[in-house]
Amino acid sequence: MSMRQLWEGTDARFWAREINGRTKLIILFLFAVLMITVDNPRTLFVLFMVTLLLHLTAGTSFYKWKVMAVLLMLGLWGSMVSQALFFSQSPRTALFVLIPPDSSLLGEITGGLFIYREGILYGAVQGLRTASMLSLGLLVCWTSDPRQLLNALLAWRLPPQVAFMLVTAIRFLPVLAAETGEIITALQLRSETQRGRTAIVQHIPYIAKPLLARCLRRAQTLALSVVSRGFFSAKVSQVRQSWKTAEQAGCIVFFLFTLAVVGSKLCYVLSEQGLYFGVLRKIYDISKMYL
Amino acid sequence: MLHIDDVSYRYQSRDTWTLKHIDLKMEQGEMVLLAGRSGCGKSTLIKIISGLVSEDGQGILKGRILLDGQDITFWPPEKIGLLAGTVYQSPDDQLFAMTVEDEAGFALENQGEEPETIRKEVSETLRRVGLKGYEKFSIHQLSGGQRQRLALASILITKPRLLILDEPVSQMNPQGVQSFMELLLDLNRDENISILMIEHRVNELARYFNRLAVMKDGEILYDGAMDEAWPFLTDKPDLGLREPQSVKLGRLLHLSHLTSDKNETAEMICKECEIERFCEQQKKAEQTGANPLVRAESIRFRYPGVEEDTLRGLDFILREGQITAMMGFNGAGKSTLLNLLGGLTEPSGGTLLLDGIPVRKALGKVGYLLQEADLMLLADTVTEELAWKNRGMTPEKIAVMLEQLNLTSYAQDFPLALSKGQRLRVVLGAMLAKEPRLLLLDEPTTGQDESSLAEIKKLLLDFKNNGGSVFICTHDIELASQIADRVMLLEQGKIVADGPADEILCDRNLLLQSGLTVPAVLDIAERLGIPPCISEKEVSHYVHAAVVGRN
Amino acid sequence: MGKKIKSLLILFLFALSCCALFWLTGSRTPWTVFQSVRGKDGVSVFLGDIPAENYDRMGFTRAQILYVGAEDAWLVGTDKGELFLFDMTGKQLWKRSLGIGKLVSLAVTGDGKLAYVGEHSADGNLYAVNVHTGDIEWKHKAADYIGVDSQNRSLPAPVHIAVDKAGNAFVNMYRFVMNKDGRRGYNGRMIALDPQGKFLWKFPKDETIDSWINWCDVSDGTERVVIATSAYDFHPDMKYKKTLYIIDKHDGSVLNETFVDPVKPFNNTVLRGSPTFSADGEYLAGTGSDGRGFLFDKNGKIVWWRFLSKPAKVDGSWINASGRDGYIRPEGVIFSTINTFNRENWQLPTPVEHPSNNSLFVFKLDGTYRYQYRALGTIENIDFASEKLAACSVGRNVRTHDYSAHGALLLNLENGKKERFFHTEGPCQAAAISHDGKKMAGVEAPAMTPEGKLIGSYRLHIWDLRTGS
Repeated sequence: MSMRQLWEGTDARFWAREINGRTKLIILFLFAVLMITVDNPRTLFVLFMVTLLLHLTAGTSFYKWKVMAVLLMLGLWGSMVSQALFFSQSPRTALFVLIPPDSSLLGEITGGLFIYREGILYGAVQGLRTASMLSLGLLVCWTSDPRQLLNALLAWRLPPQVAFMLVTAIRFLPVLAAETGEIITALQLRSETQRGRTAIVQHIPYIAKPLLARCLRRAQTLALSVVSRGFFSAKVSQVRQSWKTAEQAGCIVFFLFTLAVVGSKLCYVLSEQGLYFGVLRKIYDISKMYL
Repeated sequence: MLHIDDVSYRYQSRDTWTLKHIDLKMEQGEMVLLAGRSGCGKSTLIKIISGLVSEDGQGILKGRILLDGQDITFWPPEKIGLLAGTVYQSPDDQLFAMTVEDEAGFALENQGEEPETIRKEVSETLRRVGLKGYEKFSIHQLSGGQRQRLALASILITKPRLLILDEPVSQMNPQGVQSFMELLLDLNRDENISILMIEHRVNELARYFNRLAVMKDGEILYDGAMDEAWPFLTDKPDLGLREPQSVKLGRLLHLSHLTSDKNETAEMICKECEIERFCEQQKKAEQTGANPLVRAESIRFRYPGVEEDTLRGLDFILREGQITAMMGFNGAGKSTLLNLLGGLTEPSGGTLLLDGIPVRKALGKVGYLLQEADLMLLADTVTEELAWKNRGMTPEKIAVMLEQLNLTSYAQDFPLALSKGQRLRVVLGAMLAKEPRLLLLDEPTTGQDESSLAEIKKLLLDFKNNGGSVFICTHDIELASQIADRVMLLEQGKIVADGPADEILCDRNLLLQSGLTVPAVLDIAERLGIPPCISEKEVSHYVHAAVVGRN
Repeated sequence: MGKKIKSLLILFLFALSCCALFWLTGSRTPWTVFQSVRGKDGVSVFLGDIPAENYDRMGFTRAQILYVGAEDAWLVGTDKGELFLFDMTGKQLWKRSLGIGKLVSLAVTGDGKLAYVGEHSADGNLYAVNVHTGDIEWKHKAADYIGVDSQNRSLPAPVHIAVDKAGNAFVNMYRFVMNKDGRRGYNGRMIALDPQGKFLWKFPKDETIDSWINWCDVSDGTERVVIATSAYDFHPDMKYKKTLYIIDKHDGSVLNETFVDPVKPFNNTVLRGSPTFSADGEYLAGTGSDGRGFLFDKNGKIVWWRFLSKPAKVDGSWINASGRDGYIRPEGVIFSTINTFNRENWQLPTPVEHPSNNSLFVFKLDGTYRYQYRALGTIENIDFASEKLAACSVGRNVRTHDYSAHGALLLNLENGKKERFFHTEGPCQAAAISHDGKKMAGVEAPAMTPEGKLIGSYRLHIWDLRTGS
């Protein structure tokens, strides 16, 4: 599978592709709200697992799983390791001492370097938040035709120009991915040594310019092309209106669930600030235990 | 049908008028080829016809545009889009949906058509452009040519009266061009659609069009019958047009009439020139005496997850001071071989040595120019570009290089803002600055106009004369015939022919077998009964210039 | 083949990462991973981030903790202004953010339904909180009774609360004042409120006490309330110079006043953490700042007094150990002393530790000495189980900086023997014990040591006394 195919949304299972763009965007948005609201590590883990389960059921291909796994692991472990090292809140419990504070030069400069247990947990929480959104975002991206999302945004009366800008990014993802690969190759070709060629990282600063130049040109052509095809004066077609009742109901249920979670968390936070009602103790408990 | 009536346009940010008093009339069902160098105003003209600049407040528009008798000058683009559809150069840039059927039905969907109607129309339109059965395909699964057809379908679905095509075949190989043009001819014939195509590859397209319009500096210099254009174009190399070989030959032989029709040219030569059928001509021989630079033995390559080898045991030697052209069908393995020579990948089997050491360990000796040369531009100025990662480039050397590249006056310009030909030269310069022993080029002539081609050819020949070895992957037989010493034909991962360019390119069967177009000169030579020739100069060796013809 | 193995390896690592996350996010009580840690003797619960005070500072981080029998739970008030109810396992039953001030006093009615909480803030609120739900039933502002001067950071607070059997609250409200001449002064008043928040009386009626009143107690048996004054800056022109005021608990009228004569080299004797009535109300036990323990009768008359810590002159400086608490239990009259201090200034170092410092002294009711238990750090508070057992929080020793002293001590009052000691990294600032003596809890505070090291954290420890030895 090529870089380009990786970002395409045409190999997912039929049901996942058929879900209305509005449903997908609503779920994505509500999930983001949940991710911001929830602090409980176990609940975040469960929500993260839910996104992976959705990938399984949507038939995400092996190659995409691999790429996603790499991205997710980078995010999760990066977050955990950095927080483990640089966690500044207290209490914090040092699990390992990497550089003792009393070691000659490094110790003096760094003031000691430790792996903090609470840092790992904190990093895991933050990592799970981003990982869940990344996972779900990829799912939406891999199961959606940009038009589907565009229709959703238009159905919500978003100005077509704005909707187009938002969706163009997704439309160009496969092309950009392929092009980034090509640019890296091009840059490698301009290095004269094997080491210079394999050190992709050192080429990264140079990728932006050619990529941006081409992006601008592409975006302009695409805009011209869709304008000529009557996009910005589009009448809402039947296709755009068909949003299955079951999907709508699902969205409402998920919305209510999210609302309950947010409400519950809000009550809890307010109680922390002094606005406390004893009758809501159960809600406070649930918030504290699970949210 | 289309009447561009005294149209002038000036961008607010510029002092000069981009279009100056353009007058152009097209009848229903007419096909017009509009040519001219980059920056001559072709694209602006298209935007004006499509209604994309009339209302943007970015410039001043004078004159009017009539389409089917209606003044559309200030119509919104979507309304004009129903009458006149535009297909752009790169299909990747204009396709919006992910699947073929969604893309084709996009315009109708925007018009609020019923899903059933859209389905029916999509199916019919895809059939017309030869994409029937591809409805559910991802647009990325299509080949470049198929994507261009899809772009065409997405326009055709609204049944426009006028089709505007902006360099739609510039990225295509000869077969692709031929098949796409045949599709357009069918549409023109069957549905009487008017076609306005912008392209400077006049040499390949002349035979499909009856009418040519040539633009320069915002003005139409010529507008008339295709065959009457050639005398007009004589001594106007600055127009950047690539003329058909038969026209060039006619001009060289001072024929009384210049035409892109090779049969007519052959007849005229018979009538007007004296032919020496049996004189000896020194053919370019392969320089077997030169030092070998690259030695390839039993090179095999297989992509991961693929069951068959892409390259199947290639053996060849590339010598110093030699230009080798590699030609063949798409998918024959040309790019794979280039990547191996460029050290981007390693062969699955066999040895590939440059100066006796594996290519991947001799990367400093290889310069590789990708087809998309723009991707290799990364600095802010041309000077920086030449010096990037080339430690040996002193200011003096850069000045000399700029001179060679004919870019001295652009030394401090932003490379990506230069013209296509200039951009290619900058990248080529950056490669040459590495002082490579082997220079690899992937389709360097794509989208280049005649004068730019001449510059590139000069640079390559200079490099060769200084002892460098050039390996070009190209479909351009004209280029190969002009500069290559040797031609390798690749088919399904195997070298089917390898020898002096004169020999290989004169072998009609080999050319056809390898998916190449037979050059017009070769046909003419056959008709004249002279030994096979691939360039005008070769023909002129057997044919004395017309004494009764024109000057 | 190699590529496939690489792909599988990536997915395997991803699966391992998921397992690691599962373990990380679920190996402890949900949510409380930061707060509740199970150790071998019990659990500890983080009470929030607070700035660590300097170890030698006079006013140090505090906490309030009480065992509430009706809920079988710990009621904890913190310097962050938060009130918690934790069950015996450390699970938070509720948490109430009361305001921005520190919670400085805490008392619970006999039935365990209502908690009175004093807050040191601009309003100086006294909250009556429903112990079961955490709801605030009512509140009174100390500022209404003793005023406030926020500009000079003279903020009022209900500094001590005593509760009688009927649940009435007798509250000492106090704030310091800065006089125009730069002299430090005091402003205090006691108010009495019924459980519904109805105002009963105030003492004095028409003015405030010009002395520091840090302690009070109430007796149901003799229907009296005692207020002790604690003015270290003693001036002859003060109106309320007496050491104890015995008041009628029904109307706030003064029944008696007692002045305790100081012993040399002190100018005055004050009681800051005592006196406390005996169960029948006939006696009062109090410990003076000059290091003496007193037994008073119900009218405040001294029955006997003993030197717990005699002032001693060492290297030209008078050193002593102040007394703090005083209780009368079936096992005897209990007094406690705190750190050794220099007569000249609390902050100044002392050449040696006073042998009677940081100790608990027990006498028989007739004044016969029974024993002294000396802890390595200050005994910050004492709480009693139904029988024999007392929980003592052991905090800082600003003279020796012996950090191993920190912790909660379970003492057998019968014989003065240490039953258990649970070390805490930071000073243990408050402790409580369940009525049945099976569980003990303490609050540890963080501290910045003179060496610049941060020790401890603000956390509640709950220890199971039935396990271990």
